[in-house]
Amino acid sequence: MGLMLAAILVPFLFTIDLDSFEGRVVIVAPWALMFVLLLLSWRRARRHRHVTTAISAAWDHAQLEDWAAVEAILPHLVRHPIRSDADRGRTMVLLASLAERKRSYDAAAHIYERLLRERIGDAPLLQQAQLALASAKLRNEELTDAVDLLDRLQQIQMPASLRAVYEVIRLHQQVFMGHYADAIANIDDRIALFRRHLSTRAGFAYALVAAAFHRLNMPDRARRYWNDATMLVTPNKILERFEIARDVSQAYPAAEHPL
Amino acid sequence: MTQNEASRLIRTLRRQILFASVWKVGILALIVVASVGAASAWTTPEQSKMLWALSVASAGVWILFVILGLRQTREANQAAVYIATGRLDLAEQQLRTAALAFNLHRRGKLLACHNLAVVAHGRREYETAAALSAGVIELGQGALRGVSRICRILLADCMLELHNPEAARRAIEPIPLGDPGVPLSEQLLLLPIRLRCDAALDAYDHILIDLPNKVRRAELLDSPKAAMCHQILADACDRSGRRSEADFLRKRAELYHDSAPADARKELASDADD
Repeated sequence: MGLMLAAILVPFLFTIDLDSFEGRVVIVAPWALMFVLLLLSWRRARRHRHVTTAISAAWDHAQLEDWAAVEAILPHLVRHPIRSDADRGRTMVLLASLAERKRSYDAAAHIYERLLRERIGDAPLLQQAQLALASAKLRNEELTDAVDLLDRLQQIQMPASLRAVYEVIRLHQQVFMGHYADAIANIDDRIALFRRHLSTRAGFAYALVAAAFHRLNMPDRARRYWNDATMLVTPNKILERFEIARDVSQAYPAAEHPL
Repeated sequence: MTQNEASRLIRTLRRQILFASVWKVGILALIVVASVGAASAWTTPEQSKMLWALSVASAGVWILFVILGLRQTREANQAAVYIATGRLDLAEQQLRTAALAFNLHRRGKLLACHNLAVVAHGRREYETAAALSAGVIELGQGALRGVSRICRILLADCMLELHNPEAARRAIEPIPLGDPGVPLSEQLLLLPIRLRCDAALDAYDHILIDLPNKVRRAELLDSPKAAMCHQILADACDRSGRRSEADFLRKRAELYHDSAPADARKELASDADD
């Protein structure tokens, strides 16, 4: 804006001989310059709009678990620099999620670490990234790092919806490391938290609860939670994300999905 | 803000937007004519200088209004933060000022007006919210498609609260559910309202159209809304004799949220909207 104003006003500072051809050019030149600057600003705004739309579309596909569509959009997105921090943060989270889907947990952890180190994105995104990093490390069997990170996250204040996600990752860690009694301690509070804040994703948490009960040889409760889990999420999706629940899926019947 | 005040505000905005359009065309014409005249060979040097000064002054006025417009948009967005933190009085005060300030561009004004409608909806002043939303839809024709869509959804919700499901359906009719052009976040706002509309109008056949996709989207809602949508879908399946689907959807609804009696469902949805 300052440059535009300067472009218009600078010729005023000089005595212009308007009779001459040069004088006329001096009058037209600032407007031409302003036109070029406006054109460049418009192009930049259009690029920003295009990037924001593409990220939103990819985010929507990720929510609908259409990962092929996400994979198709991302290469176009990362081809050019993304100026906005928020957009860059969201793109990196999408990339990391895609890596997790392909079971490249070390790549996902690397992306989350970079996001956190460079503090790209807003506070809620960074908190989500911390939780996702703990989960990626757990899945990559970097257990000491994962437990340390989870212990640190336990001390941090976070919204109840993120606390529910934290509890799922903690539950996964406890079942993964064989701490089944810890996994079912305060189970009613945990279930209430999952139910209130995780909506359909609570199904994954119920599957982990079922795994804990199954290994503690409490088949009635394991069966009940496996039924609840598969009522919300299909067994295939649960096993895709939590291989640890495979024996549970073989031991108890899943809920029928007529749709 | 009362319904009358909201209607007055919309009338003022309509006048201001018309006036601003005339100003906009006038300033642009002045810039073009004065700068072409200044550069033309048929004007004397004194005339050229005068025309040039005129074009610069017009451009200055234009830039001033652009800066004011950006400030207005920023104020409208800042008020959204006040709304999110529950400081509705502060938000209303700021939004009224932003909506009434003169500006060449309608975007800032309409955003402020939309946020005022959200404030009124948050206070359960549904008549006021409906008047403001209808105003934004009317004044934002063509431009501001996203804001207009959200206003339509808000208007439909207000109409449902005011026991006028026909008006609610008319408001959301132009927004196709499941259209890839409509962002998922808006589809998720739309789904519970559309289902409530159809249920209130006993259009249960309509509810069952594209059932799997509706269920897929209902799964992405937060727990109380997901429960409500599943319950309505279950009722629709029941009425069309699809018992197994109805049982499945009802069991899911119970898993999402404590079961609510049918009369309380609307209340629940309204709370969830807030």
